[in-house]
Amino acid sequence: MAAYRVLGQSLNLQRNARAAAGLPVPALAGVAALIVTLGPRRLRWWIRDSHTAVDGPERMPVRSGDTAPDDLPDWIRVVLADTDGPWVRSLSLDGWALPDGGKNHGHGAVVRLPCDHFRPGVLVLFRDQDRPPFTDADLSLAARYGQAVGRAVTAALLYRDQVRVADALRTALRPTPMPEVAGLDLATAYRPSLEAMQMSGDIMHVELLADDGALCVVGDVCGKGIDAAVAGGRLRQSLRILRRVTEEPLEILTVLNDAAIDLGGEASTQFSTIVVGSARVTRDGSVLLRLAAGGHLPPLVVRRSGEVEAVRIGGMMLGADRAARFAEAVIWLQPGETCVVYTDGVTEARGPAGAMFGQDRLIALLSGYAAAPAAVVAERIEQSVVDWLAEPDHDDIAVLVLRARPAPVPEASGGPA
Amino acid sequence: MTSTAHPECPVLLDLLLAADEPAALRLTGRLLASGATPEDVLLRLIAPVQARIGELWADDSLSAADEHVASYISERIVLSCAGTQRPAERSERLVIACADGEWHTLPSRLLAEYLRLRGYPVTFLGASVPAAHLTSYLQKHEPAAVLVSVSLPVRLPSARRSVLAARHAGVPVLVGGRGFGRTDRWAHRLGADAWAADAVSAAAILETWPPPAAPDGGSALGNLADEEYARLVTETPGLVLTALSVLERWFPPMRGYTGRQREATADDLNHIAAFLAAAVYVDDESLFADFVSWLAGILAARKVPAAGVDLVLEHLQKTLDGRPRTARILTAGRTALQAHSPS
Repeated sequence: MAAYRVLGQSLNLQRNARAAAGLPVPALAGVAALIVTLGPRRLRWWIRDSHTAVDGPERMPVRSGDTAPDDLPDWIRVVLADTDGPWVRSLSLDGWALPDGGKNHGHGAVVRLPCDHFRPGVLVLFRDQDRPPFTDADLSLAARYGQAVGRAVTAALLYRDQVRVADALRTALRPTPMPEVAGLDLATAYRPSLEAMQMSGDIMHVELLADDGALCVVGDVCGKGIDAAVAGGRLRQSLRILRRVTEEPLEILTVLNDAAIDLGGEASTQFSTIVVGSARVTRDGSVLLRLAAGGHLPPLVVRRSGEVEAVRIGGMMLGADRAARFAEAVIWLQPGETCVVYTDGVTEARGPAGAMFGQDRLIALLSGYAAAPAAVVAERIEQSVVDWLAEPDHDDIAVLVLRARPAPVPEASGGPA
Repeated sequence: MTSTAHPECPVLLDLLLAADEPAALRLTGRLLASGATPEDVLLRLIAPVQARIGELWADDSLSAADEHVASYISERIVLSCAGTQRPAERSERLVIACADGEWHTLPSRLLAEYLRLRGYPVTFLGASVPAAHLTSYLQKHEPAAVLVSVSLPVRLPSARRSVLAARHAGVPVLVGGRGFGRTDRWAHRLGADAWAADAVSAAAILETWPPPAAPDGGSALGNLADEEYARLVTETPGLVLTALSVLERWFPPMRGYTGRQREATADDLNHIAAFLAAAVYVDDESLFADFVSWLAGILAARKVPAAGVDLVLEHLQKTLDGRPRTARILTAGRTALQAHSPS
């Protein structure tokens, strides 16, 4: 049966179940119903009924619906509960009720889906009275088909559960949306590596300070994948709490370092590089940036002239030493000027013949975008790095662009009012 | 796209060139407040102005950075139009994605907002969506259609991976964007279910969705069996290097190039190789010929002699000898170059 092929194609429960209920009709039966337990109190059914065909078998619909276990016809509840019974049995002439309320008179077969220790399910097949009853060969075919359906449905359910877990984790680890900060133009680019289910050990976090400035953090937990992502999530959570105690970037770093070492104990210390900065907009529209760093790549400042300065802050990697020393740099951004903080996924991206994207290429790119909005700068960096890559797989990429908003353009006379 | 351009086009163009985002938003806000429909602003104002921006870049009146800023402001306007009204009456959810490597989001963003205005719930997945992401999205969601956009034909192989991802998930695909050319032939070769020339025709096609299944079920591109495409892709880095040395030897302007200019030339060569590969991929020499004519125009605007391009094409002809399809396409490219700049 071609059914096996179609069933294996998808991990989507809905599509698999629809195919499972749809394929036996009309060749094997006139009506097919699939009933699957989705949770302790939830069942869903899919039914294809050749009697409802309007314009040819192609357009015969597969209907579906949810039902509570108590509302199921009794005979189906019995089959679902009978986890030790035979895989397949025939049904004699009678008025067999289905979950959609329909009644069937004819010959039938009911197949228990394998893997019912996980989530019980059954497949019901009916033929009209004028068609021959199920032979032993038919029943054995139905049983084999039921095995394929069971595998497909189980795989889809397992996948669904895993995706839920991954989604929940991913949502918790993703950067939160940028807050609106008056006078600041903020943008990010964030591209987790292709491996490890799109989870990144890069941290990017911006939140408002008490006095209307912003606290900005860009960090990179050593390693890749889920472990790094979870460690990054922990670090971000610590930051959220810490900054309610102090808004001083250097103090935040020092406490984070202590915590990283305490938490890690022996070998499990998670090293990370990090930039913690505060941005405050002054009355004339310029922005005062204080950036504290631990072993991170130098942020780049793009002046209005197109000149790009690398801000070497120094400082040790977080988690490396209890007595670690961190450093801070103070930067003034004039209106329209930009500061770019990024992780090594940008500069260490491997291009043709293994060459790295490198800081020089980044600086050359930025010098052409001196007047551009933060969002354009962030997007261009991401684009250039991804275009540069020789292999589709890459390291986590995170970019934070802070720009002092340019002074508003005075409205030209004669222009649009 | 359709009908006539909006009378305010020149005004918006000036504002985009001045990178004046607040004024541009005020202009469209005022138009909407005084009775212009969001469709009008999207299709008769933004689309033609953005096309003009592309032309200005092509004849070197605008830097790439300025073009990006203009597109960014246009995108902000598109989003602001959508905020004005957003009826979701239809149940068919649509998913719009740029193929992997495609960064021009404005056309697909415009399409997304246009379809939203027509009542579709639309998910916009954004720029450069790897096929793997599309696959995992489609395992979770059940859209009525996947819409894939590419602005440059070099992204056709990548678009094919998106099309296959959707087909494997059993979701019909509509493709469009400038990269698909002016007819439906590349779309069909890639196995898409339908092709739309613009947003208006995309909406018309979706009215009778899904289209009848393609007879070949997406199994086209039999031409790939000769491996000319695959070989070209693997050989591209080497080809670019040898082409650079050919230029250094035979193309005098190259001798005075700075490091930056050399890198830009290498980029151009990568571009030529990518368009050649795309033409081999869909087996259509007109794709490459059109690109070469376009490139000649771009270089002329920047006062770069087209002789360099001919040297490169000649070098490729010699190096890639013995591959009939590639040879045919390269010949078409050289012919187009001669037609463009008779020497």
